[in-house]
Amino acid sequence: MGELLGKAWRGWLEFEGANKLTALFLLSLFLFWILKLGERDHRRLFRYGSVMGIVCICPITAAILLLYQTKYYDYQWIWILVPFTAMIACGGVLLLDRLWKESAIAGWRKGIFLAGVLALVLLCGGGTVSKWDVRDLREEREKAARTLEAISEGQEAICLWAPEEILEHARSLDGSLTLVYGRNMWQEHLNAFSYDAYTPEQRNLYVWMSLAEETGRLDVEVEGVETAGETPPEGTVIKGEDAVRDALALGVNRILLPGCMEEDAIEELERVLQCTAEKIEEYYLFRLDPAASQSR
Amino acid sequence: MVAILCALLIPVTFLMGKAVLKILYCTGKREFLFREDAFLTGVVVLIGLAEAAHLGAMACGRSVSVAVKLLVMLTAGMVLFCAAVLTFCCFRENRTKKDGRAGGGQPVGEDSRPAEERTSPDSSIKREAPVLVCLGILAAVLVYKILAGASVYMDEDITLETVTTFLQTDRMYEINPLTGIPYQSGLPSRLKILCLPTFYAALCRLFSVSAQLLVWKAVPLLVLLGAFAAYSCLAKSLFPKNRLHRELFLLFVLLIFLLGDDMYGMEGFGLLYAGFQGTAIRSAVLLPYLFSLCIRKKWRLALGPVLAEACVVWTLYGLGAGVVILGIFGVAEAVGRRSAGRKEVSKWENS
Repeated sequence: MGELLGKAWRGWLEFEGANKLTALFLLSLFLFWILKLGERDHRRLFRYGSVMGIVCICPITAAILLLYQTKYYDYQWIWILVPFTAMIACGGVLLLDRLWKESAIAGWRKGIFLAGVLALVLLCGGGTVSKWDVRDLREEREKAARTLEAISEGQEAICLWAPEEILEHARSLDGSLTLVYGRNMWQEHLNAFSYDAYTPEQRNLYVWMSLAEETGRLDVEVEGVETAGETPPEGTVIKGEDAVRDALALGVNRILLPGCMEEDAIEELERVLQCTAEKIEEYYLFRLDPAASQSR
Repeated sequence: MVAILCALLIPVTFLMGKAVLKILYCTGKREFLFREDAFLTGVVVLIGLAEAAHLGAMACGRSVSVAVKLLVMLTAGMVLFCAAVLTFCCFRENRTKKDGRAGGGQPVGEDSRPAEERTSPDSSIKREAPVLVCLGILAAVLVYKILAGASVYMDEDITLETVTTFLQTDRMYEINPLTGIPYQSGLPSRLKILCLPTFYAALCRLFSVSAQLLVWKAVPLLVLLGAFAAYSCLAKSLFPKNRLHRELFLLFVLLIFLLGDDMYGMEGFGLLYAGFQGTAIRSAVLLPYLFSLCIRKKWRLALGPVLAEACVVWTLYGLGAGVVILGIFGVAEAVGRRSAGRKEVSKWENS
């Protein structure tokens, strides 16, 4: 319960810090009650919104709501119970109406006044979505699509092991592909959608690929990589040869390695896999014959 | 194909909603029912049909093809039934009018504004024109951002992968969409009952649209339309007598949609970056509609969004935000009625 209370309080601090509209919401609430704006229906909405606003801010009641919404959702989701947008908009309209009626503002000045209020609302927008990892996917999806098209030549079923940026889009671009691990390996939230868990070998493969992309070396030392589940301890050395053998044991028949890999490393892998690497986009591709992989 | 999909889906939704409203309020009070109510009730009915098709297909071998057939059959059946209901009601209303008897209130889905407001004088058009222009610009910006933008929030969502997997394998919830490998330990049951992936897959099959185009573009656009209808309904509930106020309300709402794109969970964020998710449909369409129904005390209709939420969002055994909202408004109404009753009694006793 203590953890939940802490989550509720931290959630509120983060919510009001990241979201400037919260200030606008509280302002509309304040002005509505102080200036006695609106009629019966508006009061119904604001009475409900005020009560739910307090419930969402108070850590104890917020924790109960977090429990109610199955603990899966983060704190900000409890605010859907508050008609946030409707109350700001309604408050804005009622305030404008009161000011227009009771002040000397008339004619075209009303328009200017409205523009001023809208500009004030505009200034309350955060305008940044960096925290929530919204990014333009067009370029990376196009690149992934080109690479996957080159990989998928031929009729056989493909089991792919590739860097994160390819695997992230692989399944949504081509439903026939099988991956050695999906993006729930590094996006832990997604593990709520399945009871399946990854084996230590699969986690090692992810860690090796991430570090190989950074260092370009065949044997890598674990440092600063996290996976869903238990990550190999810092300082552990994962050998490229072992990783590749694990991948083969998991049924992988296409290995896509980052183009920054050292030439010696690629030659070593060509020797182990008994197959020549092809250069595709900015990657090295190993097309493996499943029958021959038994002998490696 | 996306245009055909929208052109077909919107009238069908409207037709179904209008017929349901006729059935629900055939004898009761029809005041404060708007055109938007017909559309949004249709959305709720469509979600219900999609859920029925999904559960039916899950029970009959988990095949997507079966789900598509069931969805087509159920929707066609519902459309025929609704058309029959509307024809019958139309016939009855005409007869009532001919007989010179007063009908049971105003026809469902008709505009319930006062007569003086329906014919807007020139001065009010002049007054509203700048607001309408601003509204149009903001709506166009939102549509442009959805259609032209390539920013999607994927981190907590697997809808696109799930739809692609459904279409590729024709099986539902047997293959892990993130890896393409069959599930070993399975997945939570409360996820299996959600109908959106099946509904999207069925639409992709029926209209030969790619999953990415449907999920990332067409659906968010339709959800934006639903959000606009829901807030328009709320505006009419809050400002029934003043059109300028309603337009200003919508102007503020659209502005907040654009500004509220900085936090996951806000309506603007959902509409612009994840309009295909059940949570976006809930927060931008179902809940604003529910608020408008609660304010108008349309309790029978209010059950619709509550049930629809359970079909599209992961909830506590079907208990979502809608239940809380409806419960609080319901309790407040009951308490209000009781205290009003007591006041009446004490007044009567005093007199």
